[in-house]
Amino acid sequence: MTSFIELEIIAITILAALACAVPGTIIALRGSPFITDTSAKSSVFGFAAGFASAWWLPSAALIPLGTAAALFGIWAANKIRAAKLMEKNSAASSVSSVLLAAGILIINGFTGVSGADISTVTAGDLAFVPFDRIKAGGYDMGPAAVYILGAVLFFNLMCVLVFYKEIKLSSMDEGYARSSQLKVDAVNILISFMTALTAASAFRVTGAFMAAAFILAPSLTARFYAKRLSALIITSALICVTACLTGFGLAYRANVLIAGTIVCVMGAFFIISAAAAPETGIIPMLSEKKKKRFRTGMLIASAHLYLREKESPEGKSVEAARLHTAMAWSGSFTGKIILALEREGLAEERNGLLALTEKGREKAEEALGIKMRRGLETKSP
Amino acid sequence: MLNDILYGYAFHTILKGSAALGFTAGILGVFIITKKSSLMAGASASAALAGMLISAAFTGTRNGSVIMTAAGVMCLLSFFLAKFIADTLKINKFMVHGLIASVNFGLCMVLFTYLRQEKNALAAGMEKFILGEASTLMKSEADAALYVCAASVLITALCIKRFKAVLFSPELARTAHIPSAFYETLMFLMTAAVTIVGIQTVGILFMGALFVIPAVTAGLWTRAFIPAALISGLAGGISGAAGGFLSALQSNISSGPSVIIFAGLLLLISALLAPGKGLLIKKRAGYFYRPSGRQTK
Repeated sequence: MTSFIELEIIAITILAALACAVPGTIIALRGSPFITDTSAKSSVFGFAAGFASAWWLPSAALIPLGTAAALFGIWAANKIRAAKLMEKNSAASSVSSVLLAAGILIINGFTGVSGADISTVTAGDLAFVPFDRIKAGGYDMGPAAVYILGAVLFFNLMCVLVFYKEIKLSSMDEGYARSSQLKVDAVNILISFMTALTAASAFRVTGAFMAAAFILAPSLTARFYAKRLSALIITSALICVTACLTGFGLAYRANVLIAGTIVCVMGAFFIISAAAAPETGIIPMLSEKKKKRFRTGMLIASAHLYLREKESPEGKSVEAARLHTAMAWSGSFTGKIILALEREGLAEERNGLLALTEKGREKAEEALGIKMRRGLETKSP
Repeated sequence: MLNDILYGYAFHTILKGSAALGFTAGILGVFIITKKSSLMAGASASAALAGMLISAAFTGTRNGSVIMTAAGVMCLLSFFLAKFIADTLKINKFMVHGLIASVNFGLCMVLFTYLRQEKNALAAGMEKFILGEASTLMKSEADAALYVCAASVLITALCIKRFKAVLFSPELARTAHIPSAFYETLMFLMTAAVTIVGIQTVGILFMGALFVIPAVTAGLWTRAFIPAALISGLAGGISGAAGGFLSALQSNISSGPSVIIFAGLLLLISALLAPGKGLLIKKRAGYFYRPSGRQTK
């Protein structure tokens, strides 16, 4: 039986996932996941600073600190790349890893134990989030996280709505955006800020490292079903809610980590969509390719038969075995092609040899372009 | 006290293991940053841990080879899945790698919470693998790490020309009848093997960085491939040894972050002082300095 606090946990998780999905769609359009990776890892440095000064800082200060550290990581990686020291992804992963290492050393040094419990950083502490409540005038106003994540979601949505055109243009065609005097750098800073803020404020729900999956997975999955930015955002929101509910149900049954289960469900959704999404998935695409190859094979076979007919007036046909060697096809493929030719009435078997029918001859002429040429010849005089 | 540690057997094991690991990771890192698959190296670390946890959950065996095999299978599975998806669907490969790294990490966390309920002692030991703990390295494990590292270095030394051709000039590789797919898989297999023996020392969060940071450091000093591999190995070895040393002396420091901090320190020094590219050197030589050595106005 779900109690009230579990409903609150579900609501907080869904809010966090939705807040993550909005910058995720933009990042998926741009195809550079380094912002997410860098902000997820670098933000740990800010959290560590927050933990170390927890005796005088309120716990809400973790969010601005984490955001600031994440932004510093992104800024430093960009600076290093601009100084031509190394290329973008190496710079991003070195800077973020060094910041992460420094953060963990701070936590280690502060708690004084090796391998200290860093599970708040790695896995989040979703189970305790609802106990951090806002009280106003003696009334319980609900968990603080709902307000924080709601505000972040609102901020992200407003950013996308207000700067829809700018974000879209600078993501799709940066050169054109620059030439039409759009402030691409400002848009990049805005997107970095959105990502950093979202990763930092969702970290108690998702854990610092799984935030990357919350950001990337829904939008990457949504790309199989939608093309436009607005449609992408709506589809990924739907995927988010479904994944959260499924993941929560599974995690509740097995009594395991909720955020991790949601991430696994999101990963499973991505793999299933990659395999079987209509038109864009691997299986439909490959079967379409196979069908196309088969249809082309039929045309080539009938064209070959047609040409042989022209070459040898006495034979007027070709043995199946010779077709197979002439085309360098595998035996089974040739067999299938011949069966299909006979089924569609393009060719028939005459005393052990394969020959085109009238319909097949027309088809072959069409394939070879002879019919068209004839049409032109008759017209021209 | 310090003497006991410095001449202790366990201390030597740690030092040898982490230095060899850093050296090998540095050499392989040059391949990784050339192929731009730093995220995949991180993803394979999480995949290896997930494989180990799955083997702990289903077989419960303490047999090292079974655990390693499970980790290797998981690594290969995520590598080929990522490659297949990115190649067939024309999705940006970085996105797929980032997603797979993060999902594997989530899988690890879920398996940890599941095995904690089952009171699985093996999994409790594996929680050290997130940050790395060189001081838990046993003789047999350090030996396994040494063998894997030696084998990887040997293979690299034997095939370096072919690796170079496959990495830098796929056309040349094709005309010379070098099977690119085979050498790419071989490179990944070596990376995966080093990752599997390395996560106990460096931890899944930092394994990718151990490949990347020394290689980037070497890239600041030279542009030639084989010298870069050697410098990178040296940088990795130094930071591995220094990090292992610090972590063994100070019981409250995990070895993963300390190794990476030393690697980052070397990177910072190189970024300031490396000839040609270093920031301080470049300032003095003026902005028209060319790495080839000629100066133009």
